[in-house]
Amino acid sequence: MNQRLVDAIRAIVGPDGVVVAPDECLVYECDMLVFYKGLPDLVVLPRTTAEVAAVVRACLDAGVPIVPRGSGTGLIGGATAPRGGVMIGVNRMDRILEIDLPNRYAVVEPGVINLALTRAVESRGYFFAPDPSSQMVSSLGGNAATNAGGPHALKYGNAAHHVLGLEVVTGTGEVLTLGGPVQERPGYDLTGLVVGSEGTLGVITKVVVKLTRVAEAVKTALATFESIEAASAAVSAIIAAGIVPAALEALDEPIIRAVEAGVHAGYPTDAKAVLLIELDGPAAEVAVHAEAVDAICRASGALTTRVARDDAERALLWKGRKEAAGAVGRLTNNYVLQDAVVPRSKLPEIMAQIQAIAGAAGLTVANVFHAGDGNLHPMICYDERVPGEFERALQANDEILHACIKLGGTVTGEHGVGLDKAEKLALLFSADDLDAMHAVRSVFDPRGLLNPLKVFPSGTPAHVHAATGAAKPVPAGMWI
Amino acid sequence: MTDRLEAGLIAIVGAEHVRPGASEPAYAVHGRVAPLVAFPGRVAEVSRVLALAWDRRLGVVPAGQGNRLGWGGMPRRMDLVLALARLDRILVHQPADLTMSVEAGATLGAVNRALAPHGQLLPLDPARAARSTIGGLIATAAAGPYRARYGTMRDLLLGVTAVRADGTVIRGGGRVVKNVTGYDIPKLLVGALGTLAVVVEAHLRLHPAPAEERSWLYGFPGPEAALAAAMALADTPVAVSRLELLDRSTLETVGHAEPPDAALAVTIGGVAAAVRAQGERVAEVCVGGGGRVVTLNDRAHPEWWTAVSDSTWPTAPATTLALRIGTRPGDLVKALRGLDAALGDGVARRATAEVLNGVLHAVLEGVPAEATAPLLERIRRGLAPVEGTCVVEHAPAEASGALDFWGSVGPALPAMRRLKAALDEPGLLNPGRFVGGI
Repeated sequence: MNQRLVDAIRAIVGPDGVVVAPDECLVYECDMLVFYKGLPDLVVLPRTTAEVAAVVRACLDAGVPIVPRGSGTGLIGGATAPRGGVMIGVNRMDRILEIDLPNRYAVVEPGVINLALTRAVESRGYFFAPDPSSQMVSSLGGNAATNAGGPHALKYGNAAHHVLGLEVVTGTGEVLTLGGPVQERPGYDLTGLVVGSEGTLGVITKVVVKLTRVAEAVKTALATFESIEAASAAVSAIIAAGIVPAALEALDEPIIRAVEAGVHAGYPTDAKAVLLIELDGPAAEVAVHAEAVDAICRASGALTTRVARDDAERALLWKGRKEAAGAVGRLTNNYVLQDAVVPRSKLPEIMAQIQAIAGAAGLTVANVFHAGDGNLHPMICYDERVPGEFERALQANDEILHACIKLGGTVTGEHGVGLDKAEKLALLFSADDLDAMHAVRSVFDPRGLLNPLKVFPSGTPAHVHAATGAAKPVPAGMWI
Repeated sequence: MTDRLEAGLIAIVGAEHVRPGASEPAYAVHGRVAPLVAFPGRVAEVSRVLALAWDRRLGVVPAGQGNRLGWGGMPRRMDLVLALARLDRILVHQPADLTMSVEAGATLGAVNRALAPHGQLLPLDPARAARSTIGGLIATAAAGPYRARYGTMRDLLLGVTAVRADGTVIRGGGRVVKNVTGYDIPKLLVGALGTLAVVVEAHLRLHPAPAEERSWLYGFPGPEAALAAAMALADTPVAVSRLELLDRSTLETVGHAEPPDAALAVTIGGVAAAVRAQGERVAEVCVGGGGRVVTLNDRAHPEWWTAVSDSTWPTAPATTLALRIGTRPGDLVKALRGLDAALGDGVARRATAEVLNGVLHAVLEGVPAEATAPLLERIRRGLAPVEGTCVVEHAPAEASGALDFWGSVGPALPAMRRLKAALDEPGLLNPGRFVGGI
């Protein structure tokens, strides 16, 4: 990297705000999808919007790629630098700037951790609703950039429903204030556009988020089934009955075993599938819906159903779910992960197809997913030491995605596109559709220097652009 | 030139679907009529009509039934109205997925009639709800009291098919309820007044209809007390479907004799026991805040709520200025008082507010055309201390030509202008009607 740019950036943020030694940059070479490696030439850790803007302008002047990064918990190779360049880590911009409970919003810097915001307001009866399983470490800037979801997205929606405004530094070097605490405002919804644009339209330097009142009551239940298809049928029946739980999660047998071996969440190990069902809302309504859900589960062939008796049991049931993906390390050396979505009435059908696809490939598939909104996370297990297994796993992963799309689904429900799924956009969108998106991008990033190779298909598979790791594709301790 | 255009349009949509603007008063904009109104019946026809207009560099005003053509400034050019009223089919309803796909000209009334037997709804309740088209609701982002619980079109629109100014058909989003694949083109089109592309099909998220819905009305000595009670209620776990502040004039308009100076109308939906329990909590908060029961509705009164939403629509169009003001919820009454201070003699105010969302609808009657612009200017100045937004929903036609309908949209305006240029470079879709003259 050009020394003048390094010096210029060091002058902007000071010597402690720059990481330039290759061995120190190494931790920034990938996100939680460690398969793709893309080492930045330099990592900068600014403290203010002005510093971010100055760094972006310096990079634009030098024609160097800019890659924004929050906590690096993404699962799509979004926070990697396959073309090198400057990575802007927002971790030191971690102040909560304003909390206004009567008007139900907070203004935060992008490095604030998701759960830290909820911790700051929960004693007064409020929370930040999006709850990606990474929420104890993932940043609100990253949540906004990826339009993050989570189990409770079923009732409360993804991040886009909870971001009221943003401050961004665009690829023209401008600082733009979009939206804000006043909800009703004329003009194009640029906030809604930038949320989920994965750092290709700007570096987020401030987020105005909605705060949500905690519900009066919550009930968490566990139902066990003799097959994942039966559990899926119960999910479809619950939705069709007009009950929208706060969360409705499914785990299959391999996951149950992995979770119980590690977390001891109390999932019955003889079950082939479990549903974790959370209802929240007015106490009287939760009580009525809990009975209805119980009846639907039993009618759909549930073997057992039980409701968590207290907060401790409830927390344990959730711990099992939130740490499920990490626990898969007990089952397999390696796996590839999918984030596709199907219409929720198609769940039984797609689960049968997934089993068939994995079976034909001679591989095990483990499923833990947001069943209520049809957002699947099949993990196809393989062993990198066995020749040909990785290729078969990728092939099966592709077949599953095609099957989801054929059923009316989509490529990604909450993780995002990033590097990993960029080529897959062409499965859903025509050249004309993508042209329109490119036109939008040109407004904010005319030179294509913001997070290059992400989101848009380039016509070349991602592993051609990025070095790929020989190590485990997914580490233990990741969250989906 | 019009003759040749007419021939071109007839070749695409058929002679019976091309009409002179003068014979279609519903499609006039601030009293101005286009030479021609085209009524395509298929997406491919919309595409061909727009391609034709693009080739000739014609200014096109997209429309549904024409309900909200008064929103937005006078078009810089108005060569053609593209009316989607015939593009009104309900395409797919998947009850088990709580989703529906419709053509843009389908009305909200038709959609909800189709959904009712399934116990589902598309929960939008703006003024003129039943007659409003889905495409029009996307373009205007019009919403009503239900937004307290269900949000707006922004929260309900999963995907779109749209036609760009040059006739290119594009899709964005999808049909499933959770989707982060590619840029969120649907959100970009919500509230864009058809200036970026013309939405022709929409995929919508539905909600289950609540088992029961009840509403209560509490009178207060003034809007300050009503707002305080509403804010207190918002700080409880009570899950309201609507939380509307109404002024005396609105209460009169919807049929209350001897109304109080202000009132809160609250709707709770859900299972019967929860509705009852929460209704008691609402009573505690409201009565504790100085409210008294005005009428206790045993059931929800859909007609009453329709009248409340419709009260934001002008009844005397030649002398009415209708505004939509956005503030923080806690600033609503400050905004109302700022508005009042700007009103001169002879102007009557009728106001309602969606408290949780910080939206104030103000219908000002007795505003002569020549007084409109100065009044609007005074009101916007008066709102400055509360960081409010102030959009004109209706103004006397004679005053509309020169009026700034949108007010300031802040420092993002240049980016919005560039976005418009990137998607509609010659500026043919609704030219000059949107923010900052876009």
